[in-house]
Amino acid sequence: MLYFVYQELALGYLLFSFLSALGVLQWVATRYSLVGLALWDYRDRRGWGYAIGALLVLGSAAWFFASQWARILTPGPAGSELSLLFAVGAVGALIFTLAAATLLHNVRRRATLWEKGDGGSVVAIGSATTGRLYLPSSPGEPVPAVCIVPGLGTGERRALDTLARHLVQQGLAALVIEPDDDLYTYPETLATVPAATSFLSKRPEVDPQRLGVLGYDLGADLVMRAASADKQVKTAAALAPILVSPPADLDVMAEMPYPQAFRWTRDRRREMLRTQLDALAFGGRIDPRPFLLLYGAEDKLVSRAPVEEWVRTRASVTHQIVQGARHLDLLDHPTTLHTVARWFKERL
Amino acid sequence: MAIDWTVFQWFNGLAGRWPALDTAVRLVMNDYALPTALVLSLLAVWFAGGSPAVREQHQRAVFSAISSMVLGNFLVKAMNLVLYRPRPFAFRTVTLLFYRPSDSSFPSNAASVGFSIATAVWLFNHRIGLLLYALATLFGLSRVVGGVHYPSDILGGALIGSMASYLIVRKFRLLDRLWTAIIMQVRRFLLA
Repeated sequence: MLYFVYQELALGYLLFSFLSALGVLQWVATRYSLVGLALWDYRDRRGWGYAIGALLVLGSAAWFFASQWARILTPGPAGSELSLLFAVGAVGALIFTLAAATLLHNVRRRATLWEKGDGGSVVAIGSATTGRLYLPSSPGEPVPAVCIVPGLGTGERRALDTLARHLVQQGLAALVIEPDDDLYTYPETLATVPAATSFLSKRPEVDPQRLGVLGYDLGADLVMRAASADKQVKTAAALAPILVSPPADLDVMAEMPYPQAFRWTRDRRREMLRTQLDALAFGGRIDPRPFLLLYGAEDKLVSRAPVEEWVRTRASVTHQIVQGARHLDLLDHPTTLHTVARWFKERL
Repeated sequence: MAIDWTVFQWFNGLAGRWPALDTAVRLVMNDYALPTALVLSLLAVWFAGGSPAVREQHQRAVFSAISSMVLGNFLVKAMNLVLYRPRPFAFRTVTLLFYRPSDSSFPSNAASVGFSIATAVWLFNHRIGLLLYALATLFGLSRVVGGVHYPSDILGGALIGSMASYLIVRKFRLLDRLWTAIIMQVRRFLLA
């Protein structure tokens, strides 16, 4: 039977365990940039993360020892009882952290989601696909155009809008394929990019000889596959393509909170489509057309080592790493916007 | 045993002189502060590492530390069945900063716990292991200063704890497969 000697001491130790474990988790979240464990966005405020962690550990210790000092120096609960209390406190802290980090992440995210992308004009591309067409205000003569293919379940409508507007500022037209779950049904998805390039080449504002494609996440896999066959595409850019079997471990929480990470790793469509698109095999056929491959330095949703090996043997591929960017914030990262705009402006 | 008593007297002589030091020793030697710090370190070690491979090593260290602690505890209890050494305060005048434990003085269970955790982690990560050795040593020494253990009790406990870790990590290789299987399961839930 469990015997805690002093009920108040046992409850105090339970709370101390909970709070100090919470502090350790904040320290870990800061050190390894784990969004899923962070109660705040510590990426640009690492000092805050360490300070909150230390405050929780030292503060709870100070409170516990100050309030229980007399009892601590008398015979108390045995090691087994203390271990149980600590385990309950630590597991409670982990569950609380996962839940609170999700809640707070969603609150922060909701603030940015209000700034949804509503630029461009809605156009129908083929029978089932829609897109948003962004054109320079007074082009005069036909301009080069870029077709942008979104990722699967990455929720980047606002970022796509930002990217398209940035391209328009550089004098290019941009057609953003509407992020839609139906976009990724195989083999129908293979028709998306050809339909988009065909649509663009028929527009009077667009120069059909100067078409480029850009894809993000699984959209980048699709773009690589499409560009390999579509000779009308003069250049392609793939932003964080999946290409090889993605990791499914704690690292995923460096990108998103726990429930989202859990769903992400269990989305079988992603793995199935990646295999069906087999972009790594088809990507070689883009050669000799220029091809930009862009990854975030902190991208935890792709396995980069095999991709880097693939790049090494291909001269026409320009491989760039965006420092400070993860998978989910690569699309509208300032360096990405600058790199992509320059890439298409110089090559179209 | 004379040297044991001499060293004990030297350390215990520090107690009762400065109230601030007495408070600090009490803060370190109790059953809550350093054991909690050691186990909190294990929580941090579990999540530490920039790659899955490094993390897996650390997670093995955590499992090894917990099982070493259990084995060390079992060995101490087993020894207590055949060996009873009275505490330093039982028959001699010492400065006591703590309550009077009634179990055998040798080997120190506190030292066994501290050193089993430190050694298990050290066998996987020397840097973190050294930090935990420092905590375990501090824990052991404070028990001598506080008058509840002889230095040889701490050495005995440290030896038993370290030996338990060595056996768990280096000799019970079957456990390795068990840790791998558990880590793989936990990884499915994205917590490893």
